[in-house]
Amino acid sequence: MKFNYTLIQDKFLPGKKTYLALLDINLGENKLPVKCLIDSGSPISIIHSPLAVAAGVTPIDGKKGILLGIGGEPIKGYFHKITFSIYGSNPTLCTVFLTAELKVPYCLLGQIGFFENYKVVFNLRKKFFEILPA
Amino acid sequence: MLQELNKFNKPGLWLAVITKNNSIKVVASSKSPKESLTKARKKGFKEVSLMMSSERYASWIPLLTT
Repeated sequence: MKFNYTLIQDKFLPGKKTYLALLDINLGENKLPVKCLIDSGSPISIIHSPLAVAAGVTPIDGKKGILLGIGGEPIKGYFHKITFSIYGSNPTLCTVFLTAELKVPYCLLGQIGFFENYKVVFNLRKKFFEILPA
Repeated sequence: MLQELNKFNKPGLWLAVITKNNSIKVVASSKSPKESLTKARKKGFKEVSLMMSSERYASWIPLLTT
């Protein structure tokens, strides 16, 4: 499936805009629609815990864990198995990290949980990216 | 009714958003994701998704807490 990059305006960037690979997924049994950033630099997919709760998941049922931010700050949360689907595709059960401490506005689709299940082809020049089953 | 995402810089709220012309528009906001979704659907928007509001929408380093 091909998706368009999303134009994001941000006055702190040179040129005051950029294009991000944002993708809507349906999370959990409630199929909650959530906007995610495809982030190959993240070792695991990270979901805001309030969204997980709204999707029908209880974060504290998972395994407690800590990730380190790029600046070295610890981020507490829970590893959890959760289903998600992309635009009507079959739901995929995968491990994600649920945290209330993520300050990034989007959930992150990282190596574990996303890239292990999907192949992604980025083509920023033509303003689209493609997602295929791995 | 539709607000540009970059103009919504009160952080920590849950936004129901749509994508129009490859850019994000805010259709509802609330302290709870479910409430935000409900508000958006009451306004007639069915194809919305949820994200968090922030001071910046692109110029952060992932996982960097502030």
